[in-house]
Amino acid sequence: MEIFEGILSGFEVAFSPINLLYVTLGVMMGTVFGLLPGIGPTAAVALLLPMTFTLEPATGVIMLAGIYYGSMYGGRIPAILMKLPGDASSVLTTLDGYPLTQQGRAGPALGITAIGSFLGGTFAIIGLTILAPTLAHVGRSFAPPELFLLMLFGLMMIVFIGSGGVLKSLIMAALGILIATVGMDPITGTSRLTFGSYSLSAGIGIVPLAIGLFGVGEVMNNIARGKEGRIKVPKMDRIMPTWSDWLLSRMAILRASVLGFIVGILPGGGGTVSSVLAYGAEKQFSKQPEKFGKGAVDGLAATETADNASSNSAFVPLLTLGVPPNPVLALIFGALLLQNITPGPQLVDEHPDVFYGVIASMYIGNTILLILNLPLIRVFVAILKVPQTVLGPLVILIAICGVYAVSNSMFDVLLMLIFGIMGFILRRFSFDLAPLILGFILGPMLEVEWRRAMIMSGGSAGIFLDRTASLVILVMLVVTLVLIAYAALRKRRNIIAQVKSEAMGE
Amino acid sequence: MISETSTPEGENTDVGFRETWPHLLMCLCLVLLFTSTAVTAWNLGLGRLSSPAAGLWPLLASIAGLGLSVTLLVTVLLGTHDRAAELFTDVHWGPTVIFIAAVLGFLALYPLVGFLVAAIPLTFVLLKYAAGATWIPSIAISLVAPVLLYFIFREVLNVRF
Repeated sequence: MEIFEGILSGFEVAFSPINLLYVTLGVMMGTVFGLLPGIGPTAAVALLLPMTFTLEPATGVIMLAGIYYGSMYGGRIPAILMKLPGDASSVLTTLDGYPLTQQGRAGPALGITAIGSFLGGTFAIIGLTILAPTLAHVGRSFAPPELFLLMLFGLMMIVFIGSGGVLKSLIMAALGILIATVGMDPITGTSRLTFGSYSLSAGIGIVPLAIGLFGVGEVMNNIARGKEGRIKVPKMDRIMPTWSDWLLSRMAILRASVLGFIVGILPGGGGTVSSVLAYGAEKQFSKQPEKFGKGAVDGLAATETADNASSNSAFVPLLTLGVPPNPVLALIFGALLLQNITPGPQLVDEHPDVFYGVIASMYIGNTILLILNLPLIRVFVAILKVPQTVLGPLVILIAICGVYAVSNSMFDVLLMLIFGIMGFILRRFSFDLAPLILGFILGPMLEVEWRRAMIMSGGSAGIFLDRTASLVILVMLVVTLVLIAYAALRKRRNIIAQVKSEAMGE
Repeated sequence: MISETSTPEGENTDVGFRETWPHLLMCLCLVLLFTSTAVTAWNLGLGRLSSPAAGLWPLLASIAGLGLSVTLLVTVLLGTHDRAAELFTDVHWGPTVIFIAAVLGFLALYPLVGFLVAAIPLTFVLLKYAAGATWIPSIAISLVAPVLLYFIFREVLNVRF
């Protein structure tokens, strides 16, 4: 009953004209930014983040959520039409999406992507509506030791599932935590790691860091590579999938919705993991597994449905436990913090308008995404014809305006450039940047909860073992770490074997 | 030492070192960074576990980072590191340097002439010299885009440039 009343009040918030306007704007802008090659959802949300700071908190998050799933869908268009994945999860899209384009079926491929995304997203939001308030209730019983371990667990999962190797990902997480300590100590107010710079004493903001690493770094990468200016876009006839496409995909969509929802709740389990699992599972279920990778509509439907289902269910740990499970939600977390709202178990009581408003807006946003995307696919495709040489500099200009808008400080623009260069170099050395941004967001909370736990226990680490809830999380954390170590050792052994075989060959 | 010999062994050492030194340099930079932050954190004071001072948390993060960076350094020295990194072989350095210089130039110009006037040459240089666009689109876009963004941010979002 409480959930029903809450979601009704959420719909009141979400259906207000201003929120409807901003969720539509968010979906459209997200789709356009997602279209830009190399600009994935993280960069899209980072670049558009500053636009939400002048809005009411609920409106801001509603818009960011719209940008998030808009950019997820936008990234699918170049992946399907030109085999140009904008982010890791859309690599899976290219497997069957691009062969379908080659067979002259680009329209139905985009159509089934939009429909699968809508159905998977809606399934996940229904799950989120039911599960989130209950989980928030459980979360309210957590004290500093549990909160510390929960955040640490979230960070470790990102490292474990990250794309840059465990050792490098751990280094990035430590670097992120360290960057977050620059500025005032949250408890004593002492200046830390500012190296005498007055401008650094207020700390480093999420906006210059995120826009620098993901936006500027990516544009720099494109410029450094000297990419082709104009992209050839294939022609499209019909958009809607055929009846046989639908019959072939309907069970795939259902299975992928469930799988995507479950995987999305787990820290680090966002888009890519859910898409990989759904694709693998569907190949097992399919009567024609040999078609996978050669234009299987059900394969495409599975990856896209799971991807969107997991993106939506990823809001569960963010809204209920205050643990962002992926870099995009870490940015949304940062946006809420800047609005003086701390996501977590208390959110449902302290800011029910934000909690239920965001959930309700997701139903609307997903519907708007479908309504806009099916008729506007040709418009979005036309945007792809704009030469890339023009897009990069425009993104930089938007980035400068966005960073300046948040703090009215050109020092932050300089920081953005520095982080952009850093992101460019780190990416070249195969460092995954997701753990860095997660470390940066979770770092201050990890520190505060750790210090509170230490004060509570009089400096005894035994507090993590004395409490049942923290002991359970600790066991989960240790098991994860053992798995990380095992995976790393196996990878290392493979590399050693490879080096040895190369040496033998020579 | 880089081997200058022309024997097959010498060539292998040379190639091996050429492939490894960027990774070594990167590891050394990380080690240096985490060492300097560890020293700075130590100087801030650590307090006790029951009442941690400002330096304890950054010190823990620095030590973790330092330990991991040293481990990475060891894997590079042993040749067991991830060698899939693309490094800088495909980088066009000219446009990259122009890109950085243009943004720095914008930052230098901004206090003197304001956003709008500084953004026009920035956009033009980025389009024409960093991204390689032709003259007419470069001029047209560098005049229109900054004005449009100035209007959106100043008039709609109330940003004081």
